[in-house]
Amino acid sequence: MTSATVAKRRLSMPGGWWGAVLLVATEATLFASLFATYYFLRFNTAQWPPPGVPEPKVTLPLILTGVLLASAVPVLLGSRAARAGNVRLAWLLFLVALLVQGAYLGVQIHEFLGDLDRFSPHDSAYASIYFTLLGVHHAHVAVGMLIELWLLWKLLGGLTRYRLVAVRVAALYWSFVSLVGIGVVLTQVYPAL
Amino acid sequence: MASVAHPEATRRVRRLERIWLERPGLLGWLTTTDHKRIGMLYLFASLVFFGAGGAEALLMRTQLLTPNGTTLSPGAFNEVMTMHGVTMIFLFVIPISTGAFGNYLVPLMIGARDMAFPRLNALSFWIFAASGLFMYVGLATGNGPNAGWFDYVPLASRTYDPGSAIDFYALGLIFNSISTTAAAINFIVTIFKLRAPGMSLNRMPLFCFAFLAVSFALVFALPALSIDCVFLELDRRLGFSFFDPAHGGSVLLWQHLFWIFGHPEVYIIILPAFGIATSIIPTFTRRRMVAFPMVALAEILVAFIGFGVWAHHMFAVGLSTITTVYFAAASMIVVIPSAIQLFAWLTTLVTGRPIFKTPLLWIVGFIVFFIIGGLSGIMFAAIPFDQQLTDTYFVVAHFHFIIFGAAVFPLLGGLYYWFPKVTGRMYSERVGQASFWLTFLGSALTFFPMHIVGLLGMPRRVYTYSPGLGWDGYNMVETIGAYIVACGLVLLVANLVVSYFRGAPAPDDPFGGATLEWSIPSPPPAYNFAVIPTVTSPYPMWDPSDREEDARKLERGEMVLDTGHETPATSVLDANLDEVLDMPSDSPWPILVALMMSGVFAMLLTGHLIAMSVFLGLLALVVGAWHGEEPEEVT
Amino acid sequence: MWAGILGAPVMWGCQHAFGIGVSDASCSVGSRGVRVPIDTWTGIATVVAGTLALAALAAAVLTFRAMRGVEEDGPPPEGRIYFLSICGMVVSPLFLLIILMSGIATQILPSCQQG
Repeated sequence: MTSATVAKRRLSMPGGWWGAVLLVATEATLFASLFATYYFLRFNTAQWPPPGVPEPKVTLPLILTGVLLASAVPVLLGSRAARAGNVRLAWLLFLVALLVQGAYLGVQIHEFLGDLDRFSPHDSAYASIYFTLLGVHHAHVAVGMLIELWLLWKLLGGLTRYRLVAVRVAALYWSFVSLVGIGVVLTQVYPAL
Repeated sequence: MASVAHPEATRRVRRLERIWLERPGLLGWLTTTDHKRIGMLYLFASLVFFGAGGAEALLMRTQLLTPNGTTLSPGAFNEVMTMHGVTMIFLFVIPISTGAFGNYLVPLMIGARDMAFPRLNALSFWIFAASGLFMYVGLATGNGPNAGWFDYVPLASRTYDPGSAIDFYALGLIFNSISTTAAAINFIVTIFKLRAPGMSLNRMPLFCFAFLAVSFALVFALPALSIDCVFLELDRRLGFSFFDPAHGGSVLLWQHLFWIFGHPEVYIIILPAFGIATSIIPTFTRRRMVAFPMVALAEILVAFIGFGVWAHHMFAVGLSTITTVYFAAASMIVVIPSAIQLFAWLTTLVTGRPIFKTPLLWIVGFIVFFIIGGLSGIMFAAIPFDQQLTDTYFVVAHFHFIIFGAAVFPLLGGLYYWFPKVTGRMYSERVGQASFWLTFLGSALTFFPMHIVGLLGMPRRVYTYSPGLGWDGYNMVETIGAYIVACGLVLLVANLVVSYFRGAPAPDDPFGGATLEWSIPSPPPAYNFAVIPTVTSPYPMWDPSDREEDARKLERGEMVLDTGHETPATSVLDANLDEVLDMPSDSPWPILVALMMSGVFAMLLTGHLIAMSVFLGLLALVVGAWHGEEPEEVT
Repeated sequence: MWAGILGAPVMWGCQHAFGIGVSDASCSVGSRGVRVPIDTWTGIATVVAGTLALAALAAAVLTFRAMRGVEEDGPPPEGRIYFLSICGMVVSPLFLLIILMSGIATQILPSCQQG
C-alpha cells in the first residue's frame, strides 16, 4: 500500500495538517492585527502619508505580488503531483517555486532598503507600520522558502505518508502567505490610490 | 478495569509496558514526551512561580498594612506589583491549568495514549520554564518590569522607563506566548483527532469542551499581545514611532491591542476552572450534569463573546460613545453563558446527593466567589459606573474574587481530587477540609474589604496612602487576611507532600468518578489504556457494559495496539476510526530547541544581533533535524 | 445545519467589527476628508446582521425538529446533530440580542460625543 492510497482512504485530514491550519490561523490573526494597526494609525492622523514622506509606488509592488501569487501555482501543482505519487515532478515544481520566490524576495529586500533611505520609522507612525507590515510578510516568505528547502532535501529520499503530509502543509502555508500578500500590498499602496 | 488474570491479556499488557518505557533518571525527565510527566513538570514549575507570586503579594500587603509603610520603596513596590501580576497570570495560572491539568487529563479523558504532538508538548514546557527564568533574571538583576502587568505606554516607553526592565517584560512575554500557542494548537488537534472511537462531540466530557474553548481563545488572542510587544520593542530599541503622538503614533494603540488579548485572556484563565468544576460536581453529587449541551455551549460562548468586549477596559480613556456601546452591549450579554453554567451547577448540586468531601468544598467556595465577583463585574458593564470606579480598589476586588476565588479554587480542589489518581495515595481528608476553610475565610477577609476601600476612593497600584482617609482599618484587615490565606495554602501543600509519602494506597476509582481516567490504575501506567476504550456517553465510568466490553477486548486482543508506540486517530465530529498513529517517544530535540530559542531572546535583550542570528540559524537547523525523524508507517 | 449554529455568531462578529471600525474611524482626526454617514451605515449593518441571525435561528429550529426522538448521548451522527441543534437554538437569539442592543444604541446616541 503506497502513501498515495493511504491518503485517499482517510476519513479526515491528519493531525499534522490540522496543526498547520491552526498555525496559519495564528499568523492570520497576526496579520489582521497589523492591518488593524495600519488603519487605526491612518485614521488617527490628519495627513497620510505625513508631510515629507513620499507616496508609495503602486506598479512595482502590484507586479511583485502577482509574481508571488504565480509562484504559489507550482507549489499547489507539486502538492497534487505528490498526492498522485509522482515524486520527481513534485520535486521539480518545488524547485521552480523556490527559485521564483527567491528572486521575488531579493527584489523586495532591495525595495525595502531603498525605502528606508528615503523615509525613516523614527519620524512617523506611517513609516513604522509600513516597514513592520512589509518586514513581517517578507519574513514569512523567507520561512516558507526554508520549508521548501527542507522538502527538497527530504523528497530526494522518496515519498512517505509523513512527507506527503509535509507537502500538503507546505502548500497550505504558501496559499496563506500569497493570499495575505494581496492584503499587504493593497494596504501598502492604498495612500496612492 | 480490565482483569489481567487471562494469560493473553497479561502478555499484551507486559508488551505495552516495554514499548512505552522511557529512559530512566534525569535524562529521562529532560527528554520525556509522556504527557503525564510533562504535566508533572508543569505542575512543579508553576507551583514554584505561585510561591514567588505569593511572596510578592505578601510583600505588597505588608507594605500597605499601615499608611506610609516602609517595607518597600516606591520603585521596589512597582517591580513587586508588576511581577506579581505577570507571574500569577503568565507563569502560574495558565501553565498550571493548561500545562498541568490539561496535559495530564485531556488525553486520559478522551481515551488516548498521548497528546497529538508529544515532542511539541515537551517543547511548550521547556519554553515556558525558560521564559519564566528570563523574566526573573530581570528582577534579580535589578531590572524587574515595573510598569504594571499591562505596561501602558507612555510610562513603558524609553523616555520614561530607560534601562532594560520593560525589555525583559516585552521579550519575556513574546517568548512565553510561543509556549502557550504551541500548547493550544496541541490541545485542539488532540481533542479533534485523538478521541476514542465512538466519542462523538455530544459524548465528549465537559472538561474537554472547556479546554477546546481555552485553546481556540489562546490561538486568536496571543498574536495581538505579541505584536503589541514587538511594536513596543521597536519603539524602545530602534526608535520607531508606533506609540509616539508627536510623530503620529497613538498611546491608545497599545491599549487596544493589549486588551484585545487581555480580555480573552481572563476568560482563558477562568475556563479551565469551569472545566474542573463540571468534572467534580457530577462525581460528588452522583448525578449527571443538568443541561449538558447548554453547559458545553456556554463554555465555548464565553470564550467567543469574550473577544468582543475588550474596550470595556478603556471606558475612561475618551472613546466616543457610539463606539463604546458595542462593548457595553456585548459585556452585558457575556454574563448569560456564565449564568447558564452557574444555574446548571447549582441545580445539579441541589437535585443530586452531594458528598461534601474536600474537592467539592473547594467548588462550593468557587461558586460563592464567582457569584460575588461576577456581580461586581457586571456592574462595570455600565459605563457611568465604570468611569467612577476604574483604577480603584473596587476593580482589584472584582478581579481577585474572580481570579483567586473563582479560577484558583477549582485548581486547588482539582489538586485534591486527582491526587489519588496521579500519586496512588489518599490525602488526609481532615487536613484537606482545614486547608479549605483557612483559605476561604482568608480570601474573604483579604478581598472583600477592597470593594469598600475602592468605593471610598482608594486608587489601585499605590505604594502607600495617607492616614485619616478612612482606609486604614480595611487595609489592615486585608493584610491579616492575606497571611491567613498563606497559612491555608501552606497547609494544603504540606497535606499533599506528607500524603505522598505516608498516605493510604488509593484504589483506581476512590470517588466514583464518571470519566475515563478513573478506569485505569493509580498511578497510571505509561501507556494509559491497555485497550482503547469503548465509549457511548460522556460518563463512560457509569456505563458498566462498556467497561466489561473493554475487558473482553483485551482478552481478544482487539484495539490493544501493541505493535508499536501507537494510538488511534479518529474523525473530527463523530470520532469514526481513521488510522493508527505511531507516536514519538523520548527525544532530545525539544529541550535543544528551547535552549536555542533562549539564546535568541537573550541576545535580543542584550542587543547582540550577530550572536542572535547565529542562534537563529542553529534553531532552524535543529527544527529541521527534528522534523527529519519520521514515524513508522503503520499499515 | 451549520448555518443554524454558526450563522448568528458570524453575523454578530461582522456587525461588531464593522460598527467599531466605522464609528472609531469616523470620529477620528484622519477622517476629515472622508464623508461617511455613520448612522446610515451602522443602521444598515444592524438590519442585515439581525435578519441573517434570525435566519440562523430558523435553521437551528428546523434541524432540531428533524432530530425529534434522538437521545442526547445518541450515536453519531444523529446524536451529534441533535446536540449541535440545541446549541444553535440557544446561540442565535443571544447574538440577535447583542446585535439589536448595540444597533439601537448607536442610532439613538449622538455621533462622536466623547464619553
